[in-house]
Amino acid sequence: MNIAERAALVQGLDDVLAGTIDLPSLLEAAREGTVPGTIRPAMTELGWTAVGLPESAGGLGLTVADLAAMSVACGWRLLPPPMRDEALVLAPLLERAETTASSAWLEGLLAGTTSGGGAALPFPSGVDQPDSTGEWFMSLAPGAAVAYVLGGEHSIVIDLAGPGVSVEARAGTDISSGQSHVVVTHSGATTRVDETGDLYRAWFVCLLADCLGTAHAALAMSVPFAAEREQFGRPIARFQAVSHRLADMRVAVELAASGLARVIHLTETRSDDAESALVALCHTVPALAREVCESAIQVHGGTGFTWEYGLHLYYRRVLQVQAALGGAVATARRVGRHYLDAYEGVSVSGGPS
Amino acid sequence: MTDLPEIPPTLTSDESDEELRHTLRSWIRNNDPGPPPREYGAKMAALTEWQAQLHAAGFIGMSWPRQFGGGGRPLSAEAVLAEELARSSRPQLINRLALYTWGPTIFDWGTEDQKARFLPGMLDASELWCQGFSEPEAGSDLASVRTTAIADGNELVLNGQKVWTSRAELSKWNGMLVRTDPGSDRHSGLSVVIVDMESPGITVRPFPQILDEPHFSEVFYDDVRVPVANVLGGIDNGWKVAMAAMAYERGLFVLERQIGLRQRFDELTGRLVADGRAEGELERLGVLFADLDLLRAQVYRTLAGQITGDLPVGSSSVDKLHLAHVYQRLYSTAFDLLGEEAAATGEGDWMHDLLESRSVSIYSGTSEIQRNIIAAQMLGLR
Repeated sequence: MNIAERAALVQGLDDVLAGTIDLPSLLEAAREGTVPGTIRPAMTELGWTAVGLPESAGGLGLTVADLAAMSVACGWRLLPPPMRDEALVLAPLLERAETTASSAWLEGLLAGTTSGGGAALPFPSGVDQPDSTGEWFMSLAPGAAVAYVLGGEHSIVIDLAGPGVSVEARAGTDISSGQSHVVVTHSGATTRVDETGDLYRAWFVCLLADCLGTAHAALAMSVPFAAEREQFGRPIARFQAVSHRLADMRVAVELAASGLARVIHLTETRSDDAESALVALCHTVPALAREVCESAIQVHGGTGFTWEYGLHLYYRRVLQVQAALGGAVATARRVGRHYLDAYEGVSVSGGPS
Repeated sequence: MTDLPEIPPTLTSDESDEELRHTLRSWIRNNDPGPPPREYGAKMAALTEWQAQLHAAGFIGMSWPRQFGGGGRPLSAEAVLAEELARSSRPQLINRLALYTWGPTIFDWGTEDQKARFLPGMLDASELWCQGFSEPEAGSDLASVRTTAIADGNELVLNGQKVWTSRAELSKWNGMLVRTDPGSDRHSGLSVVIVDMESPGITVRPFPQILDEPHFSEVFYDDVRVPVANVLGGIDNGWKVAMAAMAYERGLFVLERQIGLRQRFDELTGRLVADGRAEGELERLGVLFADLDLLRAQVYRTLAGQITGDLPVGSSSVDKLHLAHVYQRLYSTAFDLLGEEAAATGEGDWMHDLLESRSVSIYSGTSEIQRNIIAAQMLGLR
């Protein structure tokens, strides 16, 4: 897929998202602990759930770069995360699981009659891999029938109506998806899918791309606001205290985009540097996106702190990513661990590859 | 601003870059003359000799067009050079201001005569370059330049004072921003003129910086005569030319510094590993590594944009801001972690680098000026 084709694909997605998702209905649904009912039919009509499937299974055979570009749009328009992940993770896992049940769920997903969600082990998962029983916090779509736990070596698919499975819904940081505590005590409810490292890496790249889109949206709301909002007889953007904050937000978004561009390239070329770049970005991109959202709220003043203006939806979405990764201390320590494990004295690694 | 953000291009390298890397690595292994002497004058002479050696071997100006004596390779070749030089005991090219900034500016704005006269000496380091922009009353507010250059026949007569001129005493040529229209104001009436530093009427007075090293000077110009033919890009067109030169001042510059910082970070880790303390500092090491990796990604993005010619206006300010952030954070952290060892000069010299790091958020436009540029040029706030 060339750059123009990718742009057209992303534009098609963005058009549907823009026509389907709006802040007032997201906020109204969030108060009811759900998401607007109009989104799933629109995404089904677009064929969204198939985007992560290989061509042999009726998908488009998209690359990491394609999927990441689409994920930027998901964050930019606040597509509820479980619906993003049904396409990026769940459908491909079901396709690979090759059981009767998984085929039925996949069919349901593609038809818009089945929903799901899941969780991923923080990157890099190393020796930790999902067992057939355990407990996890997951982002699940309303009425989810099937879930996954994504790992770097293998993953599992969970029948949420299966034996020994309990699902306790909890309010999550990101109110557009909520968090469910899923406990599995009977291995009969899970199916293991091997060799899911490619999906696992691609998903983290996409998650960070989503953060980029979210942060960019918060910035895009802030700049015109500051240019129009007047205090002391002039637009607040004319004060350096405000314009420099906006500039720093732009810097954060640019840095995140540059980091993503590199990790996509490294991933697609299977470079030895891909893993260390992705570990590092799992720390920096959510942290940068969080700073942008916090500054966006500050620039908007009291307006930014209101429920109805909706900036908190962007902030919560990014906070949820940091939380799922274990928090910024954990992500920084993972970077340090990865670096130190590879450390062999003073040397400089090769080029951009 | 309401458009969906796109993921930008990044620097990639091909097989010929990897071949070059291989060639350079073995050449450097066989020809590295070892660390330069500590004494400033001897050190500068040694670095000049090193660039001449690299030039003779065909490694200088690799991305310059062939007609200007270059190698006609893509910019990625310069990235390979910077990365391989970083492994040597002499990582910086003495004439990098000429190679990275004035050379490309002359490609764009110079006459054929200027190209023929000025470019060759940049490559073999036989003529070093400096830059005369800042003045006592024109620091961040560069458009307040007062140094005048008044036409007198085929010559301009320069009068005024410049400050912070790095390597003024070693340089043959100085790219200066001067006021050619004495009645003009601000950005109009300025010109960039190439001045021979051996001209009568130039007084260079070293201006020791925070480390008491003579890196830069105050330079006084009293009736200095310069041929009109040395004006670059046309009389009274200097603001445009100066801004173009400053835009070239990112990219490879930041790449070179980024590589240096990564080496120092590895050295810091080495100290901590030797003391058995690295395991206890995973978080701080992780933060530094992640920031450095982001700087590398940012500079690769800038170089990719320079290659394709579609670098967003103002985006090089992003590089400068993040460079300053990472630079200062690395040396602050090193100082905090190493304590007494960092305070002592000598091997490592962390104190030296901590002090020096304070310059990074000041030179070439302070961090505050970079934010003004981003607000105006990237966010449309004016």
